[in-house]
Amino acid sequence: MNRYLVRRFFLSLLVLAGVSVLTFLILHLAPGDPVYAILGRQAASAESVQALRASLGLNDPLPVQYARFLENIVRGDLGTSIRTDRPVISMIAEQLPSTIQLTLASMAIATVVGLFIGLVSALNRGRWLDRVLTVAIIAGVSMPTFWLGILLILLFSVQLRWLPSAAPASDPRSLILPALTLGLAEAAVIARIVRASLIDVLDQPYLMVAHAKGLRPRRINWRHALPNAMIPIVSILGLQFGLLLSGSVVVEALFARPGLGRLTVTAINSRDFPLIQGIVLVIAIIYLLVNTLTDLLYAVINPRVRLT
Amino acid sequence: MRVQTRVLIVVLLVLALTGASALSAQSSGALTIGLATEPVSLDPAKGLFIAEQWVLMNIYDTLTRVDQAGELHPGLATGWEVNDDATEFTFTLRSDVTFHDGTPFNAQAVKAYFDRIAEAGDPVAIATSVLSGYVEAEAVDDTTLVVRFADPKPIFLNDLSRPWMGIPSPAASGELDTNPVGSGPFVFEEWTPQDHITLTRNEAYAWGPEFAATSGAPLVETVTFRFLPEGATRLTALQSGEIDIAEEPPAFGVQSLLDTGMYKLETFPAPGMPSHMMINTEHSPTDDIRVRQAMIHAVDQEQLVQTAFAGLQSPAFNVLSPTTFGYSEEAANLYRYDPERAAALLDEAGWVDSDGDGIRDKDGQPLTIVYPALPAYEEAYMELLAAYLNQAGIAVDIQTMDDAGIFEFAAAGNHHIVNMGWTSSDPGVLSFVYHSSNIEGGSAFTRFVDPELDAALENAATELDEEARAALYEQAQMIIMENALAIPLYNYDRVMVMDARVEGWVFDPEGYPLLSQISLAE
Amino acid sequence: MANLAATTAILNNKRHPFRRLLRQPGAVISLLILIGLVAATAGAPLLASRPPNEANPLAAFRPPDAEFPMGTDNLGRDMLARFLYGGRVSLQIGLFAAAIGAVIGVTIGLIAGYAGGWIDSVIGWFIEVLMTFPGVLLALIVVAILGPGVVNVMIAVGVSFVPSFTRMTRAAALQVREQDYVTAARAFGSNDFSIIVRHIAPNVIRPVLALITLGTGSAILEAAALSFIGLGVQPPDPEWGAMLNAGRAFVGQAWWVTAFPGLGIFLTVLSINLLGDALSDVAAGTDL
Repeated sequence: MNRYLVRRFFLSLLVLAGVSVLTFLILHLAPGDPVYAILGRQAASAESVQALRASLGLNDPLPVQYARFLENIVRGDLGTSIRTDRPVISMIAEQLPSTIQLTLASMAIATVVGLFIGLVSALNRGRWLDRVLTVAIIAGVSMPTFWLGILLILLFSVQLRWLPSAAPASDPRSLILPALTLGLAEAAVIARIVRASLIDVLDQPYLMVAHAKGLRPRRINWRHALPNAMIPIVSILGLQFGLLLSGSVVVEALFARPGLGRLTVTAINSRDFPLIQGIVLVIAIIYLLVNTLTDLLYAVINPRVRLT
Repeated sequence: MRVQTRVLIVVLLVLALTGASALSAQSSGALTIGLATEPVSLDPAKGLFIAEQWVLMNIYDTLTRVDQAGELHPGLATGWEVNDDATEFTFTLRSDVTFHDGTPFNAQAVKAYFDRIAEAGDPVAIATSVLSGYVEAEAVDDTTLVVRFADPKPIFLNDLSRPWMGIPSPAASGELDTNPVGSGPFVFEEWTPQDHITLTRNEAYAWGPEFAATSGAPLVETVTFRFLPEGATRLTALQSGEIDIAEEPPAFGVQSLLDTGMYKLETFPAPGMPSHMMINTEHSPTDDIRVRQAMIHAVDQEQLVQTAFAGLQSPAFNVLSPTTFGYSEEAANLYRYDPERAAALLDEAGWVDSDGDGIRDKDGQPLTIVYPALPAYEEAYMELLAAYLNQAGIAVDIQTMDDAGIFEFAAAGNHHIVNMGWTSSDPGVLSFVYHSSNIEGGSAFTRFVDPELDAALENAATELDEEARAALYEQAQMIIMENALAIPLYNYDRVMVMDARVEGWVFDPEGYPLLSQISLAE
Repeated sequence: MANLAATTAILNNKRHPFRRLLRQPGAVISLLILIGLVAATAGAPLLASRPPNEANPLAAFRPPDAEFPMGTDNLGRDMLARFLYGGRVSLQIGLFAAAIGAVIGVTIGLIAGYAGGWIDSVIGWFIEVLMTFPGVLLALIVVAILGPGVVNVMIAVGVSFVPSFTRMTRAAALQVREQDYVTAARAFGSNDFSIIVRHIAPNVIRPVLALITLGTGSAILEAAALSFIGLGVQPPDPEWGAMLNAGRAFVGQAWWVTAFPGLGIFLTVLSINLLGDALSDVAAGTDL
C-alpha cells in the first residue's frame, strides 16, 4: 500500500508537469492578446496598449515566462490574474466550493436515481419494465444537458414558479435545478452500469449456491448481489467527479451560478494566462487525488484487487 | 419525552426559518438589480469598464455634478474658479462630509487621490486620461484645493463628475479593488465574485446633488447588484421576482412583460459614439470609396433596429449620437438606405454579378468582405447586417471571435469591417478611433490617414471656446462620413425594464440613475 | 465523454455475429430513424424550398404553418431549411469527430499495447496528461487557437476522444499480444507492422465500432455544447447546437425556434445510442 502511494505520487508529479507544459505552450502559441482582452470594447491609444503589455511582462521570451511561472509554483504561489490584478489562488478558492457543491449534489441525485433504476431494471431483466427503463436510460444519456436545463427552467421557474432560475448562491434553492440538470444525465450512466454489473453478479455461481441453500431472493439481492454491483459504481463516481469542470461550464452559464466553470470561460476569453494555468493545475490535482482515492476505495471494497 | 423535545426543536427551527424568510420578503427596502457584466475592480482609479460605473457612483461622491440637461452643479466642491487658459482650477470644498470609515473629507484626501492616479499612470484607466497633463494639486487648507495642469483642460470640470473621479477615503487606499470606501449614499457591504455586490444605506448621508429629489440618505435600505450575464436569465429573474430591475433585457421578451402591466420600461439615449462598423480603407475591395458608400447605402438602419431590437434602440446615421456635444446633423443626413444607389455605385466601381450567383465579381474575384464579430455584443444584428450586404451582392465572411481575438485581428488590419462604439458624455473619444496616430497598435481600425481630420480632433481637445470646439467636431464628423469610413447602425440607448413598483427613476447624463432617489412602492 | 468512458468500461470483445443486431426491435427502429435523418439532411437542397440563410425581416417569428412547416426565426429565415442544413453539419461533425478520435486513438493504442516497455509508458503518460486536462478546457483552447468553425470543432471534439480509444485498444492489444498465434507469427519472422495489422487489429475492430457509434452521439452533444457557449459553427450557417443557443433568447415568444433543433439533437443521439447499445450487447454477448 505504501509503495503504491509513493509510486502514485511520483507518477502524479510527472503528469502534472506534462499538464503544465502543455497548458503553457498551448496558451502562448494561441492567437489572442490579453492586452486587447483587458481593453475589451473600449478603444485606447497605441501608446497605452504598449505600456500595458510591458507592465504585464508579456514582452519577455517564452522560457522566461515559464520559468517565472514554475518559480512561483514552487513557492506555492499561482501568480496574479492579468484581468483583475488579484491573486489567482484566492480567485479559484472563491469559486471552487460552489462547483464542488454542484458536483456533489448532482452526484447524489445521480447515485440515488441511477441505483434505483438500474436495480429495478436488472431485477426485471427482459420484462417490459426493463425495456421501458432501458430506453429511458438511453434517452437520459442522449439529452443535451443545456436543452434539459432550458426545459427545466421553463417548467419550474417560468410556468410553475416553484424554483428560482438564478437565485443568489446563498439561497439553497439555487442548487436544485442545476444539480438536477447535471444529475439526470449522470443517473442514466450509473443506471446503465448498475444494471449491467447486477446482471453479471446475479449469474455468478455463489448466488446460485445461495439460491440452492434456499435463501429468499430478496435477501440474496440485498446481501449478496448489491454490494458486488456497487464495485464498478465507485470507479464511475470517481470518474464523474474528475469531470466536474466539464459539466459545470454549461450549467453554470445557464443558471448564472458562480463557479469554476464560468471563471474558466471568462479566463479563456480574456486570455488571462495565469488564471487559466492555475485553474488547469487545480483541476488536475483534484482529478489525480480523486482517482487515487477511488483506487484505494476500490481495493478496500473489492479484496480481489491488489494495488501495486 | 426526549423524542418530543427534539421534534419541538425541529418545529421551532422550521418556524423560525420560514418566519425569517417571510419577514425579509416583506421588507420593501431592498432593491435588487440584474447586471449584464460584473465589475473588475471597485477602485475608481483603475476603472475602465462601463460595468463598474453604476456601482462606483453610488459608493463614491465626485467634486462636481452634472444634471440630466448637462448643467454643471456643485458636488463635494461647493464652488470653483478657473484661470483664463484653463490650466489652474481652485476649488472650495464641503467641510461637513465624512467617509464611510469615519475619516473626514478634505483637500488632502482629494490631493492624495489625484497624486495616486498620476503616480500609478495606469495606461488604460479613465481617471488617468482625465488627469492627463497633471502637474500638481495643492491643499491650501482643509477646504481649498488648487489643481494645476501643463495644458488647457476645457472639459476638466465636466470630467470631474464622472464616476471614476469619485474620491475614496485616503485611509483605505490599497485594498479598494475589493473593499471600496467612499463618502457616497451607499456603503459597500460585500462582493461575492460571479454572484453579487451588496451596498447598504449611508444613514449619515446629507450631501447629495442639489438637483436630486432628495439629497439626504437613500430611500431604500440595501441595493444588491446581481451578475446575470445572459439576457434571458435576467428576464426570467425579473419575472420570478428575484430582481427588481434588469438592464439590457433581450428585446423580444420585453413587450410581453410590459403587456402584463406589472413592469415598465426606461430608456435613455446615450451620448458618445453609436454602434457602427469601421471600414478598413487599406485593403481591396473597401479601399474604393464607392464600395464603402455602397455598403452604407445597402443597410436599412430603420428596419435593422426593429428586427434586431424590437425597436428598443434607435437607428444611427452618424459616428456621434444625437445627444452628444457637437453632433452634426449635416453628417447624419449624408446617407440613407437606398439599394438602387448602392447597386449603381458598385456597378460604377466595376463590381458586377457576371456568373449569376448573386455575388458581384471583378476580374474573376468575388466581392467578399471579412467581418470579425464578437457574438457577446453583436449577436442581435450581425447576421442581419450580413444579409443586407448580401442583397447588394456583397459576400460576407463572418468570423466570430472573443474579446482577445477580435482586437488583435483588427489591429493587424485583417478585417474589412469591425464594430465600434463608445458611450461617453464627451465627443473627444472620436480621436481614439479616428486619429491616425492610433492606427498602429491602437484602435483606428479604418486605417485612414488625413491631416485635416487629425488636426480637427487635436485642436478640439484643447479649444476653450465651446462654439469653436463644436465646429471642430462637426468638421471631423463630416470628414469621416464623406469619406465613407463607417456604417452607422444604432444608438446605444440604455434600456432598463423594471418592476412597476420602482419609483423615482432619473437617468444621469451617462445613462445611470442615482439609486438614492429610488424607492419601491408597497 | 462521461458516457463514452462508462460504456468502454462495460465493453469487451467476445466474438458474436452481427446478425443478432437485426433481431432487436430497438436497433431496427433507431436504424430507420437514422437513415431517415441522414437522407433528409443529405437531400436538404431538394427538400428545402428556400436557402437556409435567406433573411426576410418582415416574416420574422412566423409559427409553423403550411408555408413554413417549422416556422421562421427572428430574422424570418425558414426553420425547416435551417433544420435540414444544420442537421447535415451536426451529423458530419459527430461522425468525423468520432473518426478522428478513433484513428488517432486506435493507432496510438495499438502501438502502446503491442510495443510495451518504455513506449507504452510514454504513451500512457501522455494519455494520462490528456485525461487529466479537463475535456471542455481542451476543446475550448483548441477552438481558441484554431478559431471556431466546422473543421476545428471536429478536431477539438475528436482530440478529446483520443484517450478512450487509446485505452480500449491498448487493453485489447495487450491481451492478444500474449496469444500463441501471435508468438508463432513472430517466431516465423513476420514483421511488427504485419502482426499488428493482421492479428491484433481485427480483434479490436468490433469494440472500436461500438465505441465509434457511441462517440458519434457524444460528439454531436459536445459540438452542440461548444456552439452553445459560442465557440462552434459560424453564423449565419446553421448547426443544431448554435440554433438552439440563438433561439434561447426568444424561447418565450417562439418555442419552435428551439424545439426543433433540440428535438433533432435528441432524436439523433438517442437512435445512435440505442444502436450503439445493441452493438455493444451483441459484441458482449449479453443479448436481452
